[in-house]
Amino acid sequence: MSKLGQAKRIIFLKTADGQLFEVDEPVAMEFEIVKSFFDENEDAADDTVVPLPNVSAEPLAGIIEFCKAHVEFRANGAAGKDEVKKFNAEYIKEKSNEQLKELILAANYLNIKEMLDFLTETIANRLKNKSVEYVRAFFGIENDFTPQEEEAVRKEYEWAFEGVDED
Amino acid sequence: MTDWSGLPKDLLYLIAKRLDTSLDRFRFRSVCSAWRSSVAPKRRRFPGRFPMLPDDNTNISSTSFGFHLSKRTVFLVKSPQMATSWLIKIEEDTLNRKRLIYPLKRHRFDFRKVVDIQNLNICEIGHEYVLNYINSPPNSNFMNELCNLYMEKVVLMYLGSRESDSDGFVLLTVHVSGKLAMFKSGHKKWTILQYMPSPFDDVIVYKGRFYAVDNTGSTVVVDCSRCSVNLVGNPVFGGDKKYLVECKGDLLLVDMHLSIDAATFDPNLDWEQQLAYFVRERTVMFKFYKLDEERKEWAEVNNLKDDVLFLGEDSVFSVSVNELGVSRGNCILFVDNVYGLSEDGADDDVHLGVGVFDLESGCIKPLGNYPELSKLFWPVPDWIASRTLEVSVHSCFFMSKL
Repeated sequence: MSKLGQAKRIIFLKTADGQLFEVDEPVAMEFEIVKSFFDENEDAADDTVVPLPNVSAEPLAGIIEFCKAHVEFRANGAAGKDEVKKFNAEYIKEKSNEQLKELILAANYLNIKEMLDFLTETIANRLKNKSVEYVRAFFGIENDFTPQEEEAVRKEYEWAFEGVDED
Repeated sequence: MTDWSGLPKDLLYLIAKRLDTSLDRFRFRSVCSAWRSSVAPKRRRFPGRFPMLPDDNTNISSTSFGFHLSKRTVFLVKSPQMATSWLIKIEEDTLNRKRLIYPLKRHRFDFRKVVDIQNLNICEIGHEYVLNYINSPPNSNFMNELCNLYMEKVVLMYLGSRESDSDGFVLLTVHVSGKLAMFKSGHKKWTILQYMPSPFDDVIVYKGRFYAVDNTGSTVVVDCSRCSVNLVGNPVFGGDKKYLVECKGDLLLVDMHLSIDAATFDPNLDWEQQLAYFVRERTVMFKFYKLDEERKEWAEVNNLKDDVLFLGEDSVFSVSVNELGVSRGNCILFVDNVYGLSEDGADDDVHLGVGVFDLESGCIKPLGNYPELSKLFWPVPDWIASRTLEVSVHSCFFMSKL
């Protein structure tokens, strides 16, 4: 980065709702979709604007914040240390359920591995040891099973124990 | 409200594969159609046969004998109002048949019932693996107990990502020589690790790595790819048998002190019981240590606070009092044969031979003296009994289909 004394390259990203973001190159390159855009268009001009038709401004701002911090952690050799965990915990604490969903959809579209790992883990942790009813209520999901699926689910809910056989 | 059912399938799959237990995966699949179709049920298949552990004294051909591996899972089942809990251990065989096992022990519990677990809150507390000799018929309880001669704890770890079975797995156990024995899937033989300052007592998977402790408390991390070990904890010496357990994210060392003195001679016991008292080693106390990996030291812990430790014959686990729904922790439940002999009442087998060491008082008493804790095991809670069907109805149905 700037430590090397080189001029910083800025990547321009345009969201679905028409906002233009100026992002430091190392941060933008965390997005696999942006990286492959430049890999495929090697002669793209420096001021090329990369369109992101599936991402709106709010989640993108959150994603840039996360990736920027993580790029810095890696540069400082802090990856995997406690301060990263602390940052992640603080980062997610402030997010509503709706924001979390927007973030994960955007991170999935942009294909940001580190962030997706973190977000899928976060959601999985919210699901662990929770009853199905709780999960449906928490995530606003309706039970939409067909009678056949309903029957299959019901069967799975029966724990059949074998006795102690004498043979 | 946010509707999460519309997430793309690839994303649902990424989330589901982070659910490590088959129970969580099962519940994920029970939420809605989209979630159900995004991921397959979690089933691990083990090879049918593992080779014999090498033994210097015999020349048994490794192709004619072997082990099969079975998994048992410890669950905490909570009543609908979450007021009380039932602690159970389930063994599932390759045909997905379930059996109840005494949670701290190895033998089966005669409970031929179907339980409807819908709307019950169930947590997976821990699991254990057992190597059984392959020549034992899987249906025979009697034979299984006789043939379960290989009694050391076995731990298993998947290599590579959590999802794909193709990366294989590694087993670690303590060989009859006291050395560590490792088996990698796809290999034909067990590898015996030669490092052994003194015989190993216990093995555990902690934070994705194998740890092993010897009978001095000296603790190592096993490097599976190089078949080597690194010392992470210096000896504590002290007691007679060491166990490792994960408790609130920390690695704890449990040091069991045994004694063969007969100071508690009881004239009311009959001859046989007295003899048992004299010849058996008796657990007299426990000490606990927490690993300080930076200093490679085990630091003594005098209080387990709101945790209860369960020291079973094939696994050790910890559960907080909140989860258990009991009023106080700071104790360890363990299997101790002495109590089996001095108690009567054959119907509550599950309590037989289980003792409780209370850290606050430093005393050991039979589980029966702690009604709150003993209720976790037995009798079967009313709210479970009311959800059971006699299995015979089902087997008739099954028979009629044949």
